[in-house]
Amino acid sequence: MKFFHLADLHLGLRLNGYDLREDQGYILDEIAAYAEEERPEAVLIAGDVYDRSVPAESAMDLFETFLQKLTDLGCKVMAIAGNHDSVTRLSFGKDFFVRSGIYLAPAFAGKVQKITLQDEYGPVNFFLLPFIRPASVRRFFPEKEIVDYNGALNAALGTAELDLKERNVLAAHQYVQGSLFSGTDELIQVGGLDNAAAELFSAFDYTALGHIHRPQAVGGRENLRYAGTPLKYGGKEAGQQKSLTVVELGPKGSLALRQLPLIPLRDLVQLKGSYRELMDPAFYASRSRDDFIQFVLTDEEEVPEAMRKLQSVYSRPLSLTYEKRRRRAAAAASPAEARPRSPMELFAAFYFQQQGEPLKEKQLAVLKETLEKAEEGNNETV
Amino acid sequence: MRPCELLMSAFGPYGETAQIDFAKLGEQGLYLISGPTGAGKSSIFDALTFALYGKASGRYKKDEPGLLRSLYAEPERETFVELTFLFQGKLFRVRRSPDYQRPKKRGEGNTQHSAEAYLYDENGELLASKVRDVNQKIENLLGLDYEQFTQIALIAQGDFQKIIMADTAERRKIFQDIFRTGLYRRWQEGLQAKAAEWEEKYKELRRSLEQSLNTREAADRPEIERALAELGPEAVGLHLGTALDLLRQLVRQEEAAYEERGAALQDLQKRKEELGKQLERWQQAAACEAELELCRRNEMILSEKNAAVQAEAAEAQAAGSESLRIEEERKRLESSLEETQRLERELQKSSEREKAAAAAKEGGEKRATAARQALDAARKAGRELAGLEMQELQLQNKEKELNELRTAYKRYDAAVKEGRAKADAYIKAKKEAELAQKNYLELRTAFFDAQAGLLARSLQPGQPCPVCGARQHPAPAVLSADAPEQGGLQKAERAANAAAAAQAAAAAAAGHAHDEQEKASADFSARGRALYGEEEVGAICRAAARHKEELLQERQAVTARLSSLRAVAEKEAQWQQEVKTSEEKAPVLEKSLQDAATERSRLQGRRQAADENSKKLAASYGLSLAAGAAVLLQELQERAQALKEKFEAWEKEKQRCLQALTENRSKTKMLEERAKELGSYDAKAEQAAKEEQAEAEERLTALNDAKEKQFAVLNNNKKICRQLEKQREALEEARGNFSLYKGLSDTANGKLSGKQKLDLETYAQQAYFDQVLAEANVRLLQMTQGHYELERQESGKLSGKTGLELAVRDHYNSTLRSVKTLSGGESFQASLALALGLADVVQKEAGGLGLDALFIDEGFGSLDEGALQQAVQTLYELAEGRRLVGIISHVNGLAERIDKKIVVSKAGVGPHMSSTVRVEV
Repeated sequence: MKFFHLADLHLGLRLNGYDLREDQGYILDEIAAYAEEERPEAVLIAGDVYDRSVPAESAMDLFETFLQKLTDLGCKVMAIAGNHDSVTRLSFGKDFFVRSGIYLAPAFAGKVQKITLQDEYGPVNFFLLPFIRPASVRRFFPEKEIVDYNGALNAALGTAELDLKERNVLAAHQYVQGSLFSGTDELIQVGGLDNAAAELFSAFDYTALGHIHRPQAVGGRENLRYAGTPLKYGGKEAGQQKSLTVVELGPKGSLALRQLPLIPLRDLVQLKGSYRELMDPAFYASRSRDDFIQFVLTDEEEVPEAMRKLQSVYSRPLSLTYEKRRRRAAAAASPAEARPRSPMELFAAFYFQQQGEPLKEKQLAVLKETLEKAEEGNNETV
Repeated sequence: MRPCELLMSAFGPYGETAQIDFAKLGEQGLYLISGPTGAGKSSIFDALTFALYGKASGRYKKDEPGLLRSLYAEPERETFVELTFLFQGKLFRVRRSPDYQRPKKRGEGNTQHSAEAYLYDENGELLASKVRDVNQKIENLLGLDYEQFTQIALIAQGDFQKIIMADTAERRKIFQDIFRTGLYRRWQEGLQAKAAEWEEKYKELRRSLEQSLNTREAADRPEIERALAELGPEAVGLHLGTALDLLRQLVRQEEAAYEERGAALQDLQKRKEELGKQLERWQQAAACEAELELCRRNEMILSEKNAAVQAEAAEAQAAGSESLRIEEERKRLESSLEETQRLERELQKSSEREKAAAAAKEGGEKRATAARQALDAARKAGRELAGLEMQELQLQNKEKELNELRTAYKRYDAAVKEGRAKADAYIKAKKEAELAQKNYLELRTAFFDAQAGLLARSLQPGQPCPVCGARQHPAPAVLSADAPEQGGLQKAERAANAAAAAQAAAAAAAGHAHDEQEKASADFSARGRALYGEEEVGAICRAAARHKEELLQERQAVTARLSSLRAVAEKEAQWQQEVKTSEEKAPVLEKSLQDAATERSRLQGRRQAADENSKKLAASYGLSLAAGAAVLLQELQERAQALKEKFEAWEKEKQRCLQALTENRSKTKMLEERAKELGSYDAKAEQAAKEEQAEAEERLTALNDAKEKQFAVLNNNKKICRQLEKQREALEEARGNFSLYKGLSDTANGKLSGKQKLDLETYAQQAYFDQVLAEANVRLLQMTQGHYELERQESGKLSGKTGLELAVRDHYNSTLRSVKTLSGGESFQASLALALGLADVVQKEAGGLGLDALFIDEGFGSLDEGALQQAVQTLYELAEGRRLVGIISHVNGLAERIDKKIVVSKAGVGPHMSSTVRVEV
């Protein structure tokens, strides 16, 4: 059984105001091309199909085209809703779509959806679990006390009747402990409460996860994997390598993974250098000037109208920062500065600013005395 | 300040009581208040601010509290808000209701319910109960008033621009209150006051020194004085050193002169003393001589006196011995008189004894007579006694007879009774015998009859009857049931026989008894006849009774008389004895009487003798006893005493004279020696010395005066010198302090010329503002991805009271723009960043302003997806540190991202459209 593992398409996402329709369309076509080559039996989309619960019309067009291409190839498509999707909207027409081999997981209603496909080794059970929170799951398990994601997932996965002799695959969209995230959009609840333990998924031969944008195996486990986004969706993902995961299940116990690289239409990079360097034609001649670029200028002084000028050369600047400032900001945030200054210190600084020299002993003594008196007055009025 | 529970009753759109339990939302994180338009989301914030400050939060609502009552509430329901909140670890509860109209409890129409407020602590104790007090307390507690709270902790709908667009004055006020920069103002004012103080001091000191310098008395050193005068009025201020030197010089010179004079004075003084001593010696010599003369004269007088005293010796001695003699005689007389007295007493005693003896004798005689009389009486009684005893005996006999009679009667009586009883017994026995006999006969008959029956029983037909031998038995006798047995018959026979015997016995007994009775009766009658002459029983009895009575009485009388007589008679022997003794005693008594009399007369004689003796003695001294012994004795004593004294006085005088004489002689000797020592007296030399002395005296006085005057001037100058020296230090110090304080004060108050007029408080506020901006910019840069940053604008002018202006730096353009050029969404971001920055700095600085909870009402609608994402991210990071951030928004994107919600919903339609609220986690 061979299937693709995709996730976090975020169709309709706008990056710093830029419409990514073209880029997303391009990468979906790429994936479809891979599908034509590899001929997988199924394509799993592990959540966050759309970027918003009410997706943009263009996004829906993209998805429709994509599904069409896949089903034309005879692949089964299984998609679950992520935290960005509206489950109900995404599962619209799910019963009809089944005829075309498209399986959309409905909202969790007490039982995990199971789709069984057959290969030469026997049945392969695909369990589709959309994104759940503790609050959404509680009412199905009144006897259990569900306080966190661990409990919720435990309860939900418990409804999947697993036959461990068969091969079982789970598609889920959660934040699992041990995974590294890019800090773009993945935190739902702060404080580590939204993560689930990796052990919960140990019963499955393969768990196709979505939610984290960086493709990775969780905690070293091969069979517990995030597919990652097909495109870079944030400045912090500039250094990542996006890929498509191909999973091949042999007989029970045999698992083979491959990553197929995904090359976008326009890349997202960070360019660091002085203004002059970056504006040097020799420099940008060789580059793609249509990429989404994060500029880090190393100039000492701020360059006036920097953004506008850069924009004249590079069509899609994302942001502009100055390295020095960052460093200065970092230094400024250091504890020494952040400490509230005592009145004496303040006066000393003030004096220095006005007179150009520090305070002498005698002056310090006098100041201390008068300060005490002033503080007394302070206490009286309080 | 973290809210724990909020109760809203008939408040805003909440027609009933709505309760929000904030505790469910946890201690930190974001929560979203969502709901349809007009459901009551902002009203929650209104309720919060209203509970705390009595005003709603929104820009438009805050001034009209009357609008707070819910239109959907039933008229009886009260409008109030109750907030339980945690502040610095302590729980407080505040309950507040606004002014509103409500229906009267009695009668028709509405009445005004005035605003109320109550504040409780965690134990339920009431901390304040008037609106004003509660407001005050809460402001004090939280450290924020309404204005500040709505800028820092709660950003109401449409208000977020306020914080960015506030002008400098408003910002100043905020910082002043929050960061307590008032301290700096007081500090700089304190410095200024202190500087003024020191200036005053310095001036004062200088004035006083100048005055003393100018009013100085000039010494007699024209050069120096001139030099001093030249220094002029500025001496103290500018040339203090020089003036001091000159003065010192003056003083030194004056002192030297003073010393010289002093020496001269001393020499003169010495000379004067010498002369004085010499004069004294001469005086003494003269005195001595005079005294000597006096002593010699005394000698003569004293010797004469001594001789005179000696002459009187003999006379005195005589007086002494006479005195002794008189004393002796007195003693003798005294003893004699005593003797007389003693004898007198003895005599008295003896007389008494005599009287007693006489009385005893008389008594004895009387007793003898009495005893004799008694004896006679006793004898008489004895004679009578015999007769009476005889009588008694007779009586006894009579009594005995009577008793016998009685006994006889008793016997008779008993016999009668016996007879009767026996007769009765006989009758009875007879009857019984007859009965027994009858019974027996009957039984026999029956038995015989029965025999027949028995026989009949054994009859057999055809058998011969034992009786008649007939063989035919047509009518056999029937055996009756109660046929007696043979045994019974025999018993009955025996009984009958016994009874007959008994009867015979009884008859005999009765006869016997009867005989007895006859006998007794006869006896009794005989006796009776003998005694009383009667025969009849009853008469006898009566007579006997009477007799008995008589006898009894008589007997009694006799007995009584007998006993009394016996008593008397018994005493006869006694009386006889008595008489004898009395007769024996009589002569003894007589004798004793005579002895006593003799004694008495003897004593009398002696006493007389003694008395005469005394009289004789007295006469021998020429005195008479007439006046009484005591007086006499006293007189004698006095005489003796007088003489003794005289003698003693003379003795003393003699001693004294001798003493005086001896003393005088020794004194004379001493003076003679002294005179030798002192030498002779020279009148002329003396005179000369006196004159010299007087002269020296004059010179001395003059010198002294001059010295004193110089001394005064010198001292004065010295004093001024010292004063100047001492105060020089003080003056320098004052001047130093003055400049020190002035320097600091001018700097602190922004009065430095040529520099920016920046005072301390403003500087402090700028510093705080910088801190706030630093914090804010961290967030703003993040939210705008490095696009914008806030900067404090320095004004180019040198005028003070500025430096709190705000501008925004656009990093993409590297321009500095006014904040007013930001778009709606951008200004929301900036405001949010600023508010958060302010809260952060407040937290660090004040510490006590526990801004644990923040509330943001709308504003997110102006952000696009990316910006919204950033904003939420920022808020999450903010909430990380123990903060609970509440957001009101209808933006979907937020609803998806934030789990914890407070959902407000409208229920019903039309007039009952009250809202409800619940917490979803």
